[in-house]
Amino acid sequence: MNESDDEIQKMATNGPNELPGGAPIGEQEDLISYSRLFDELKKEPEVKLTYGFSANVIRKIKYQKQRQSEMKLALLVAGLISMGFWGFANSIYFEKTITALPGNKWIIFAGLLLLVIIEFLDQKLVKERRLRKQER
Amino acid sequence: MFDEKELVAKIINGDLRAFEVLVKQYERLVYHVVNRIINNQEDTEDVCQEVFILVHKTLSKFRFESKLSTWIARIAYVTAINYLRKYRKISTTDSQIDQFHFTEENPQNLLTKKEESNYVNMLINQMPEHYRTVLTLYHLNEFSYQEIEEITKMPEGTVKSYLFRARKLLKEKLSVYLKKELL
Repeated sequence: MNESDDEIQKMATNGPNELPGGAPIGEQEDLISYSRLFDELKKEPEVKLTYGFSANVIRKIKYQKQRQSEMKLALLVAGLISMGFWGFANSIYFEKTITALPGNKWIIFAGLLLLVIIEFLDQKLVKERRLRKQER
Repeated sequence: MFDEKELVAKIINGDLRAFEVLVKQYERLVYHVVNRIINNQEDTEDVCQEVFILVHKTLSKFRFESKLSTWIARIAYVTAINYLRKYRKISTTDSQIDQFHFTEENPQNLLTKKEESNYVNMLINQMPEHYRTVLTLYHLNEFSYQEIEEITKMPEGTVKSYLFRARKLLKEKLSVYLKKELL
């Protein structure tokens, strides 16, 4: 660090605002420049946040909380369905049901699976994007 | 003046109105830190929102070992720096910072020069992010050297050195401006 500059910066921050009489003109000019600079640095630039910024943040937090609880509920339902299906698959009724279904029973299962995939993709790619747009 | 401990306790208990009060209280601080680092108005608001969402998520971990403003400024600083890293917008390396000089004047700069405040802000925006950060935290947000060290995790000596050099570079430009103004 340049000692003279360091001292002048300290003076511009804490005072005194004048150098002793015999100080070189260059240093006095530097002190004036530093004082002007520090005044400028203290000036707050315009804050350009949209009106209702805090409300937008709260809305986003509410949305995230809602998503979290929906996700928990979905996981709980999925767990219950899996357990129910597992119990059913191990019961004596499973085989009877399968044999009772018409010839192309796997088409029914494939159709159900396709429906689940379409619903999932709709949620992920369309609804979430729309919600994100609404948030902004 | 509001009671920060009471406010934080309310927020942790799920009071979103209390959190809105906190956002209003600190939105200027977060804005200035983020805006100076990112230097891009379009993305600043999104990053500021991200900062407050993170503050809400992690507030239960705040132990009042520092001022709440310092803690929030730290989150704002880290989020903004991560944003720059993610989009590879970090403009300078550590070795380049010490050799930084302002570029030559262009017509747009000369136009901005007409107003001192705009000119100083334009010069600051040209500086490396570390210079911009320490200048903002020290002069605008009035944090101490120790607090800036806590926020940025830069050693105090580095903070002082960046601050000294940034001010000197700005002073040199401003001196020329002031001399021309007097003529």
